[in-house]
Amino acid sequence: MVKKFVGFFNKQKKFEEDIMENGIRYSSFYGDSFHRLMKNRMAMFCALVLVLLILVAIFAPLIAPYDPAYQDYSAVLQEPSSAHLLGTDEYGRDILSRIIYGSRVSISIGIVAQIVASIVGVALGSLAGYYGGVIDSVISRIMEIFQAFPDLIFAMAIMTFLGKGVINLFIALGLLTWVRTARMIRGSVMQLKEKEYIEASKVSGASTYWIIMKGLIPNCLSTIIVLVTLGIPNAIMYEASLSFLGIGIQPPTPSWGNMISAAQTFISYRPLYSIMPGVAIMITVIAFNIFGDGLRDALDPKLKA
Amino acid sequence: MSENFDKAPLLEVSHLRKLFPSGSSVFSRKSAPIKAVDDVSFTLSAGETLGVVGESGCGKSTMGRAVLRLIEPTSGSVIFKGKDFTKATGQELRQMRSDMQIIFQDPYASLNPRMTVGEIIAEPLEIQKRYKTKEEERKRVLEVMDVVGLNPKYYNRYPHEFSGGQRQRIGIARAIVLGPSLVVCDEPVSALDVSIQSQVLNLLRQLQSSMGMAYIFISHSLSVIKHISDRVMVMYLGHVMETADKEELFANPSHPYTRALLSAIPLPERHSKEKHQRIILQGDLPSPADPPSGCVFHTRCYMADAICSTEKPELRDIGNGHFVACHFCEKCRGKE
Repeated sequence: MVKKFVGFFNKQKKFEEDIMENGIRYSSFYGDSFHRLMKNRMAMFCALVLVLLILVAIFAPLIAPYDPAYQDYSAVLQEPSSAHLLGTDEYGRDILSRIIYGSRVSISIGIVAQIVASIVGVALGSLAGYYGGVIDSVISRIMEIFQAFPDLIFAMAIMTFLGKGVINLFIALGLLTWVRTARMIRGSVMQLKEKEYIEASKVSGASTYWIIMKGLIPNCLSTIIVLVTLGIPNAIMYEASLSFLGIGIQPPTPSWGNMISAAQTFISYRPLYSIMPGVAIMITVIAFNIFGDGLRDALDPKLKA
Repeated sequence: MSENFDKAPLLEVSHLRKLFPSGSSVFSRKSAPIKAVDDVSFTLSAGETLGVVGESGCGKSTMGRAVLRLIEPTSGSVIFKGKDFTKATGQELRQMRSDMQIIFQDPYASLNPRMTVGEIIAEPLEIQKRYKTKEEERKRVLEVMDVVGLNPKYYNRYPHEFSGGQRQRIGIARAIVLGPSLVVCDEPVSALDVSIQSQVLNLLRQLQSSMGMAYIFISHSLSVIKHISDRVMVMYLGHVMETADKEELFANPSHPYTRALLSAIPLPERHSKEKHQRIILQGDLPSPADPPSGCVFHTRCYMADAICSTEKPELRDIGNGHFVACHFCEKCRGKE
């Protein structure tokens, strides 16, 4: 009886060792996630679209047929033609070139604003979640105040206060979106700090900095990645809205938002002029959103709806 | 091991107390704090194992964590190697921490899922800046992996690839990598299969005899406690009920609660059935926010008398290093 039991046990052990050494190749967490992401065709297609968009933004001078600021008064508000694929605007500038250059502004603002938001959000969120008590109360109240304002009015107020300009736009959009990141990180950290591996670090004498940087942030990283990817289209939309209202990117620098704003006067006469920047925004935002959803599903299979 | 007992104790815990504030907010009246650990004192010599036993919620895990200051104790002192650990700060605290470790119950929650096995075991070394070079550190980690029976091939693997028993070995490796003199084992085997339990217990014993560590071994299983302890402490509702050497405690249980616990151990032999009488305790564990007056156990005690609900029994020495907190321990003892 005992012998049989030991025999069974040894077999089990050998089986385990076989798996570990010869059989299935195990991979790391991010390796697994990457495989899951690769299987999601829609997300991969959107990733391809995003890569193309970013390449277009980077190599705009090589791709754009005209200088976006070049004004040709002999050819204003033209219909699409072989010379101007999407026509020209009221100053005779090539719309396609302006959309291509506009992608630089829109995409970089989306990314930079999200990076600003993530740094602020992760720092404040993890402090609030880790320390709790008074620090948490103060940070939470600040977040509530930020959330109590209607988004666009809040951004307009900041832009009016700081003045127009690209840097100020980064700050305004960062301030607008950090709360969401901070809330998510605060929640994750509150949950994670009770884990026993955090206690294990504490027992060995780890400092708070060590615990946050080595124990908490790496475990929040998938949440942060997803938040950034889903936050970028948000920031692009806000940039477009602010530019449309005339307090975002100032002409003559082309951005998709201020192009739509300029085009609205001519909407019945040259509808394509306002539609095309809108289509550009739409493609970018949809691609980021679907890719972000795919990333979330890949990084956290439990969340999959 | 017994010759070690005569030396000055490694750890001296006196009147340790941990109160948790309970549900107080702006809108509710402040209620009484929960007394998770109330006035616990004991000493532990180098190389000795103190088994702490009691039912769920009796404060044994809180006690273990309070000794390590994972939970700051409300009052009381923890003298470790002659220094007051509860008052240590800064560099001194960090220094002392390198000498005390913990092994957790849940081998799934106690390993950081984003670190490899090598990184997990090396973490205490890095926190304590034990080695100057990565090579020395790696050498030490592989050495410890060998000691706890982990294949060095697993160095770069992630914890989710392992079974419960192997994960617990990783947890043990992390605990012993600094060469501590005290390890709190917080139910280290209760989440494991029975066949793995004995392997891990034997590993812990073997490590103790080779490294001379003292254990505070927390468990709700008396058979595990019997296997590993030198001395046993029985806790109930944050209080120490009885403490004695293992043989003495199992031979002469002198507290009604200990007797009830011991009677609950299932015995495999058929003939013992006639002699074996189970003591079934009535009722549930009272709330630690509102503990019974007098002896905390009197609400469920089968020997309770009038005095038990009014007067709190002190922990009395009844000889042979046997301490009992019961007004009627002599009667309880003589019952058999």
